[in-house]
Amino acid sequence: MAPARLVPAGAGRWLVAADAPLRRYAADVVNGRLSDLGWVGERAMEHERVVEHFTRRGTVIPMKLFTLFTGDEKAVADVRRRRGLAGLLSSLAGREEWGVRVAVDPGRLRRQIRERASRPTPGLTAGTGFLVQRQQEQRAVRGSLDDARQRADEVFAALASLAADARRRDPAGVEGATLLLDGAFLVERTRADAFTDEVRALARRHAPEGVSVVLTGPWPPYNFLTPSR
Amino acid sequence: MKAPAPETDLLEEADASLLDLVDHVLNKGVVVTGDVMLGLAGVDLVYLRLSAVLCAADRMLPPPDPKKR
Repeated sequence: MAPARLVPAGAGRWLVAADAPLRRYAADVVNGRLSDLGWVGERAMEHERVVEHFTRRGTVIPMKLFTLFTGDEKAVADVRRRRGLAGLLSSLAGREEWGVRVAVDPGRLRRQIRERASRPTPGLTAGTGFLVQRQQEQRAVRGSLDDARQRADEVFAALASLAADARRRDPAGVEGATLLLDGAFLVERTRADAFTDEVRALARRHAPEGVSVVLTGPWPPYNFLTPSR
Repeated sequence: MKAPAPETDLLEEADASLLDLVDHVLNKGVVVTGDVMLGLAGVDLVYLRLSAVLCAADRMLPPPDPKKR
């Protein structure tokens, strides 16, 4: 990829652009490689490096990876046509995005419940006792999952109160482990320490219950480019 | 690339970080539609894969040590 260059886009705004040779970036070439995660991943890192470089120097609206125009004029015209850019830029100024995920592993929960398990119910045969115990376990796991969901909601609320904006995405459920919260938070750079301290405190508080809290970031504000619903 | 804060409870594998990044730059950053249309419909799969990796990392944690109780 050619070096990035700045293209004036009017109103004190600039496009960061780089020339993309057609033999590598024509639509059919890119489409053919989209399932190659190694290749896409390298392109993603290049894209991210450029976005982060400029994020440290001003307010950046990151474009989607593989946003391709046939020329500078087309790109500038597209940007000039957009409404609401001024509002978007001011909503992003001085802020960065943090990602927080809350997950629970039902298997881990079950092990914990088994360790804390009640003694065998007296007066039952070994077989019946086993079944009763399994039933109690299932019930306890369900209860713990409800509890974990509530914890995830509390984490979101606590962190949203420290953020300028917050988004929550419905996580894709995967059997065996459950992502309960996939949140993005737009945080003032000056409040980043307070925010990350709070995430760590929440992680410590919920870890003993089999609920993990994971922080990523800071990110460019990828999740805050569209108006909140 | 993003390194998770060291004190947080869970490890994030390199794989998860890469998928996370790809998910961010491909699925978000939606502001401008370029001239060249790409068939990005399949990229939802990235998120599914990311969820799978995150959950796998979760399962890799060792079971709690019974002697500590």
